[in-house]
Amino acid sequence: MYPRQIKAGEPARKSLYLGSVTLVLFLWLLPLLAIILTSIRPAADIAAGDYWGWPSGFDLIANYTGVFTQTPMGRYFLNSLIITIPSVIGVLCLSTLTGFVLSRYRFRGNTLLFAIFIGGNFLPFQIMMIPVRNLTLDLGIYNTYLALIIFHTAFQTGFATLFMRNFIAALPGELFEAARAEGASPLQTLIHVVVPLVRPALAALSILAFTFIWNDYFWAVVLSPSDAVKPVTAGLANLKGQYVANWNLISAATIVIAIPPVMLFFFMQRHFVRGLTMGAVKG
Amino acid sequence: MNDLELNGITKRYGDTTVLADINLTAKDKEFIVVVGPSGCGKSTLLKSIAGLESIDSGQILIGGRDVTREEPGDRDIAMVFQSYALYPHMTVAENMGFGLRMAGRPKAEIQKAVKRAAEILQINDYLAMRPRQLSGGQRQRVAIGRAITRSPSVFLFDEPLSNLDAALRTQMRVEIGLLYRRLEATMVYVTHDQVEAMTMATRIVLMNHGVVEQIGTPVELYTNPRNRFVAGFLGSPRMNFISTRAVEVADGSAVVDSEGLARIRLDIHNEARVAVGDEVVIGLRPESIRLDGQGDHQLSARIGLIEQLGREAIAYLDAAPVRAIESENGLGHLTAQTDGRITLRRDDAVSIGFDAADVYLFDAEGKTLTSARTADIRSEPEMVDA
Repeated sequence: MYPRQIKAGEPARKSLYLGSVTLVLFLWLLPLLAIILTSIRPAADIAAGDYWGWPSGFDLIANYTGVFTQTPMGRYFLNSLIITIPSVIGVLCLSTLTGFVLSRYRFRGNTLLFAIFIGGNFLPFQIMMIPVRNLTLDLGIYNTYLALIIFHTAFQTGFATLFMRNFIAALPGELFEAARAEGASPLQTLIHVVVPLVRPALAALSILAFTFIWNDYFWAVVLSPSDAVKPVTAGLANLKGQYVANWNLISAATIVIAIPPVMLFFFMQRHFVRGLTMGAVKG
Repeated sequence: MNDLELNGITKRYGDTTVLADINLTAKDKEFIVVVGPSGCGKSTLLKSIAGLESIDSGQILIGGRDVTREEPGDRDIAMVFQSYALYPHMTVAENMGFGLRMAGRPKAEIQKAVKRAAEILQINDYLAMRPRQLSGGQRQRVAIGRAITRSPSVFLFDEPLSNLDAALRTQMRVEIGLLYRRLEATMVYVTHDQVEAMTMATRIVLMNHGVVEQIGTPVELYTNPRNRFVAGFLGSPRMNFISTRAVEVADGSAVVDSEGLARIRLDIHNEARVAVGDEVVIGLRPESIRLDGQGDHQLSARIGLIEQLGREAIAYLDAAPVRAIESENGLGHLTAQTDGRITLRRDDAVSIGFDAADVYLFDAEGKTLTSARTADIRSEPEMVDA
């Protein structure tokens, strides 16, 4: 069921094991490798059809600076940050509030409300494409940051509420009774007791939400036709010209785009792992 | 005045009544221990007093003020929980000052209150630590400290010692007793442990199935239980109960007789309703049974088992045809508590004796029929004028 140590003195099995791990890792990382390789290749290599060979020259700096000088990636990058950061903050605030209420207060329709939050996750969002686009048009926010921020916040809050509700429900009930007996209002309890205790969950959730929103392509395409608002994902697709595509630049841009979520993960990794396991193990 | 008055507290969950018409007046500076088997509603009662549970009918007065509909924070109570319920992310000092901080009190006042509470409980050295760095006993002390900091009218304890090991529990029991004398506050203490109830209470409230069975001083409940439940609940090992039959009823006395048990004449009180031929139950405390055969009545028995505790020994006696109902070991053996220097062994035949004056009589519903007796054990509730 779980990986067991291979005993010393079984060299055949050990090398088989190491060999297969290497092979799987290689296959798994192959696309990434191809992108990295392409991102440092001169454009001439690609034009010549040399995708996998040793690069004829290393244009690492030229390609990566080119991303920002020759394309509007800088703008897209900024757009992505402007959209993603407020959305993540919005998701964290809303889901902490909803999670707190749904896990700690008994009222009529509690379960129904919770079911709606969860149920929303199962709807394929493609079916909402046209209504949402029309709604943003009617609200006059089509093709603005606000449209993407509002809709990302709304769509992520469903899953985030499930996450936060379960996390807060796992906190010992006597803590809440103690706070109430001490005269703390619900808001004070939320701020002084709940939030400090769910910090690992908030860290994990912020990474998840950040990645989902940052990597979103669908809503980016649907709601932001203009370059002024377009985030990186939609912008990347724009880099492909009608007749030519600078694959080396596109690859470099792809790597640049992937950096923020990965960085965030490494910064918050400690909290992230704790946040994902804490509810289950109850530390 | 920090009186606590409960008038007709009733609480239901759907069709089940968890608290049925509870009436209780705790005078200022009284230490009330609410005791009963698990599920008897004692914790629910405490949470209702705290305001953490709403009640369906009745009235709660604290210091003469009706707080039935008030939030817990406005009731002038402080509660100590079984699991301590300390906030793990705060230091001991922050935990203790939490209530005052939430009430928006000035920093200096909070500091002073925390310092005072810490001194009372001798936890000054831990103030900067976090709860996880403390042992169970220290945590419980902090939890009590948190309650003291708010200087409430009424302290509520919800089984505060249940998570501690036996040695620490005894120590904390004594400490809470001393604390009570020092704070001179009204306390309501919930426990399932009869030793805590007997040792700490000025008055015990014994509950069962959401109903108060009896309220009184520990000795009062022990010597004059109102019914068979009270008689069986207090005392360890518990009272022996033997089914028998009333064969003679006269003014102020009744005679019971059953196979193997000689006729015993017992004093009964004026309101006792018993008739000749009624099924009744007699009760005999383990310490009232003597293994040397001394006493008004004798029985021959065989030792089934001896539990040697050093200072004392518990003997389980097969006195067939006399069988104890609801006996401790399920075999119908009588339980006797005796001196630890016992030389008897398993299967030895003994003559056991007891005095009629030590026998309790209960009717078929469990109501006590024997007249009240005076306690020969000296113990008076402290601090409260009876």
